[in-house]
Amino acid sequence: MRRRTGRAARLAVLLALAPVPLSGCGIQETEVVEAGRPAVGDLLPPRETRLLLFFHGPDGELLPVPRIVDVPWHSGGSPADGEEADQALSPLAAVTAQLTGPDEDERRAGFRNDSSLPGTASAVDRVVTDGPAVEVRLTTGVRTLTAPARDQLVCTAAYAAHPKGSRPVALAGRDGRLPPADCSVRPVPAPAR
Amino acid sequence: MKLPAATAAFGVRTRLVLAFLLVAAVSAVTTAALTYREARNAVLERAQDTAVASFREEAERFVPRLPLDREAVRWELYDIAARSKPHPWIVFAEYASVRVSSGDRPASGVLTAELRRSARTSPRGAFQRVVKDGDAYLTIGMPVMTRVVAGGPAVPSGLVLYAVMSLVNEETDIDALVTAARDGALPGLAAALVPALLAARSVLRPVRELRRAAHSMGGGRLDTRIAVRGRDEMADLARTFNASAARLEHSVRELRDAGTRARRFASDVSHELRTPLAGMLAVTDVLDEDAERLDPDTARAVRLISAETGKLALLVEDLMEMSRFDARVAELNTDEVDAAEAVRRTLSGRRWHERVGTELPDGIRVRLDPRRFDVIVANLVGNALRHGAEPVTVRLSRRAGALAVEVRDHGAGIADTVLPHVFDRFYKADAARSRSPGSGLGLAIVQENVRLHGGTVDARNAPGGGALFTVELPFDGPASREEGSRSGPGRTECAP
Repeated sequence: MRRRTGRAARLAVLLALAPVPLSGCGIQETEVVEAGRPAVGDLLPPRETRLLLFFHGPDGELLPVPRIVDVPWHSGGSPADGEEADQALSPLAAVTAQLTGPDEDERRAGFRNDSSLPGTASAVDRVVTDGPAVEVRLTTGVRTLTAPARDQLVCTAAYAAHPKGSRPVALAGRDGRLPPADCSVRPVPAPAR
Repeated sequence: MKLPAATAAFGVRTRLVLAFLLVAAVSAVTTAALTYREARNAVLERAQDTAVASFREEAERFVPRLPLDREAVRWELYDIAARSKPHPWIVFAEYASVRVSSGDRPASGVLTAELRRSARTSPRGAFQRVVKDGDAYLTIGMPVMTRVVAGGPAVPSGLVLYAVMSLVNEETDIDALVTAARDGALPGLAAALVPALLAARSVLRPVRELRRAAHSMGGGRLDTRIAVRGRDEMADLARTFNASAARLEHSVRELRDAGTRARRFASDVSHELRTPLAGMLAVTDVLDEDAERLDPDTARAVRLISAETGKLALLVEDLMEMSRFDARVAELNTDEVDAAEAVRRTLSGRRWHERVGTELPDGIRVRLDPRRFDVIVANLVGNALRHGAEPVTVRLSRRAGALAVEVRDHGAGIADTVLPHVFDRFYKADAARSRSPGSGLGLAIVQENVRLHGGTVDARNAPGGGALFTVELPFDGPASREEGSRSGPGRTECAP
């Protein structure tokens, strides 16, 4: 009797195991699987015809937003190479545009300025780029600016003063001067794979 | 004799076939499953890798002006969708709160939150297989990074492109794999039946031979041997069987020879004793007659000697009878008699007709050996008179094709411990009473005589007390079949 039940149990185990290799037929769902490098492209339009502003997206992330500007065309028909003094592309113009806020298209795409930024273009006094750090001087106070707001100004000024944005920026205002800071959006070498 | 049928429900053949099929099934299923898994993964991986690589390539070809202009982007997405590889896909673009797609809906219901999170937070391409409503999809998330200077480092642009590609073709391919695996495994199983049956045959043939041989040996043919084939375990078994059979045959022959010698010795002894006993009987008869003239002591001694000599002569006669039975030389000298008449003659011949009650219906005619029938009745009645108590009755009757002779006494009956042994030779019912008036062979001789007639004898205690011996002699036994035959049934096979 005992042997019988033992044999029956073994048979049952065998029958239970038999379909195991069969399970998992068809296509199974997966977790998210990383698959190589991202798509990498050039930031358009090119630097010579754009301002690079930094706005917050709908989820609060800081994103670089290029904006085409009308550059005066020179006699040769091409944009003036290396003309840093060009008013339209100067760091001052960039910071001014940044404080003016997103235009209609940008707003429709969900971009916005931080609410602690002064909402008027006249709030920027001047931008000094010849020191070790770019200095952005506002007519308002800078200590009341929140960290996201400071980030926006720092990044805009840094990328306006340097192609890769790798210059520290110091914000200054009526209430003093903040220590120089780097833009949090740092370009990284595009992953090869 | 007939061989018993060997058709067990789970015989060796069934078990072997099942085991073979099980092994074949397990290996076929395992192989099919492993092959299937590898092939499926290969199919899926190829589709995934192709899709991810070509999607990235297409996404890089298309780098939109930012921020997105919905209409312009839509056309770009159509362009990417048109270059789908390996299968058509739908492209979705997400940028800040902008949602554009190449399909009819701007956002997809297939894309999962995990893929979105991964594509937004990690600067790497990613894919995920999703099964929705029974259909499998490959979803790819491809964040777009932008170089701030040509050929230089890049920053996340916030734009993420997604592709949703149906895996229907792969599903079809994979289903075809399952079908192929099944179609391959089933004929494999069927093919496994052939070796299974062959193996069962190769095992079962020696077993069947062995069974036949064992049966034949059981039937008395001790010279049965098996042909030894090959060098496997079955051959070992056959060799062992043959060796055992040889030893058994030898032992049996020795035993049989010893038995024969013993029987011949008993026969010779009784023969040798008969002649001097005859002489002694003649002398004791004379002495008996003259005993009255001797003085009383001597007369008593002479009568004792005379009586003991008579008993000795009786014993020797019985011994000789037994040895004839043992030597299988007892013969039936048959004659057709009236059973009642035969019993009456027996009783009156021994002057018992006054002491024994009878119930003898006339007209039962039967063919038997009258002398042996006389011995049967006389021994039974004599036994009843000696060991039982009167009244003793003899009853004849017909009973289902046999003549039944019942001898009953009204004594204490037979003890249960003794009952199985009453027909044994020299069996003493009462160990203390070693001296019994009989030879100790009476009932044994009855049994042998009844057997010779093909009948049965049975001893039991009758209801109401007393022992009841019943002899049944068939009307169509050997006595009627073979007139004056040499011996009874079934006696030839073991004759020495």
